[in-house]
Amino acid sequence: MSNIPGDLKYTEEHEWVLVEGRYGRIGITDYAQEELGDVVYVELPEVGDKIVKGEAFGSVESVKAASDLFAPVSGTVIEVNRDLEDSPELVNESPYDDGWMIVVELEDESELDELLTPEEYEEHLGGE
Amino acid sequence: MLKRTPLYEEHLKLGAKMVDFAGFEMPIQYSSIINEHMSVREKVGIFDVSHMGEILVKGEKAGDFLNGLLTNNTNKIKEGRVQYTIMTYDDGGSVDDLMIYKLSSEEYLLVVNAANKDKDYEHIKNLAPKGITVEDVSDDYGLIAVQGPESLKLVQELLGDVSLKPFNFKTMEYRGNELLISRTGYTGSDGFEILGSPERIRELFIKFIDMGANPCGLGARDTLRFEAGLPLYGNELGPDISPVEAGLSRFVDLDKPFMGRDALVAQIQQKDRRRLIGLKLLDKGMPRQGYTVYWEGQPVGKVTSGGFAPYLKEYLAMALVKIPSDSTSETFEIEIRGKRLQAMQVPVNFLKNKN
Repeated sequence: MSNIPGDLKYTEEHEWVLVEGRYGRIGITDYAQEELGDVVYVELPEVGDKIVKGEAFGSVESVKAASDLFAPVSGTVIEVNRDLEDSPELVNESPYDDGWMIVVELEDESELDELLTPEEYEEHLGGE
Repeated sequence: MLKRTPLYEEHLKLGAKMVDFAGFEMPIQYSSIINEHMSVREKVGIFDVSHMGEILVKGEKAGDFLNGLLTNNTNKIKEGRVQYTIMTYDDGGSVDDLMIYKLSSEEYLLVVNAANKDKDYEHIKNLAPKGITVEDVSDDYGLIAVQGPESLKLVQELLGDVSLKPFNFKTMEYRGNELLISRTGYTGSDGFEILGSPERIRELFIKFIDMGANPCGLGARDTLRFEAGLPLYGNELGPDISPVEAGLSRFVDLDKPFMGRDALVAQIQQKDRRRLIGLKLLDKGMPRQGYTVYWEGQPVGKVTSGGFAPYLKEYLAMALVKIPSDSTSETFEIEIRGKRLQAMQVPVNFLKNKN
C-alpha cells in the first residue's frame, strides 16, 4: 500500500502540498514514485518563476517514462530543491521529505480548498 | 492470449512487475531497474530470456545455405563457437540480428529475437533448398542469462568447469538432460547464457537465485545493452535500417556472396549515408527514442535509443544521422521536450570507453 501522510493535501495527478503558513511545499506522492520507477532526472522552475494551478511547472523522468508535474496551486517559487539535480533518486527514497521539489508563496489560499484530503486521495487511488 | 515462459510462476513468486513483450508475459523489473542494472555491473544478475526464438537448421549444406543469408561468415565458425550475425533482405534492410551456434558441420542453432521469430522462420524456410530442414524448436528450450563479474564463480559452483572463452559454448549433461552453455550475453559484462529443457532451466533459475544471483527484468536488460552500446532490433536495426548504417560492418563479410550484399556495398561507398553515432548530453536531460537530432542548426536524424546510463552516470543516446562524412564538428543538439540540449559525439561503445 502507498504511504499517504495525513498532514498533506493532494491532487489527482499525484502531487502533494504541505501548507506552511503562506507557503506551500510541493512534491510527488509515494504512489507516483512507485509507478514511475527509478527517477533519473527532475526538471524544476527557477526561484522567482510563477506557477499556475493545473499547468505543468516541470517534469520528472524515470528510466521508463517522462511525466509532467502539475501545479497544485498558483504562486511564486521561493525555493527549489537543488539536491535533486545530483540525486534525483531522493524522489524514490523519500518522496515526502528529502524528495520535495519546490516551495511557493501561495497566490490564493482558497485554492487549497480544492485539493484532495488524504482520505479523498486514498479513494482516488482505489479507482486507479 | 499471451504466452508464458517456463519461469512465469517464479517471476510471480519473486514479485516481478509483468508486461506484454513480443507476445509474452515477461518481467520488466523485480526490485528497481537501476538496482538490477548495478548488480550485473558489480556482482551477478540473472535474466529469463526464454522468450527468444530458437531455429534449428540441418543438412549437409546447411553452413553454405546460411552463409548466403547472413552477413557474417558462417564458414569461419569453428565447432563449439557462437557468432553474432545479421540476416538481411535484398535491399540491405535487416530481417533480424541473431546468434548462431555451430553444433556440428551439418547442424546450426539460431537464437533470434522473440518478436521476429515467426518472420525469421518463414524467411529461412522459404529460401531453403532440398536437403535442408528448418525447424522452429523454440518450445523445446528455456534460456537464462547469468551476467556479471561474479557469473563465472556462480556457474562453476553449480555446473562444474565452464572456463569458456567469449563466444564459445559447450554442451553438458545435467540431471539427465543436455544443457548448452555459452560465454555470451547482451549486457556488456562477462556472463553466460544457458539453453536447456524448460524444466531444467526452471530448476537452474531457482538455484542461481538461491546462490545469490539478483533476478533482473527486461528493463535492466535494455539499460545494460544500451550502456554497452549494443544494438536492439526495432531501434538500431530494422527492415529500413541496414547493419552498415547501424555501424555493424565488422559483422558483415563482403568477400562472400549473400542476400543484400550488393546493397550494402553500395551503402558503404555512399559518403552521405545515414550512420549510427553515440551522443553524450552536456546538459542534463533524458534523450528518448524518436527525439530529433540537430547539427549546425538543421535536423539531421533521430535518437534510436537514449536515456540515463546508470553505471556510467551519464545521459547518453544512440542516433541515426545523415551528416557530411568529412564533417569535423562533433557538436549536436537533441530536442528534448521542447528544448534543444547540447550533446557531444562519442564512440557508441560507451562502456568500453570508460574502462
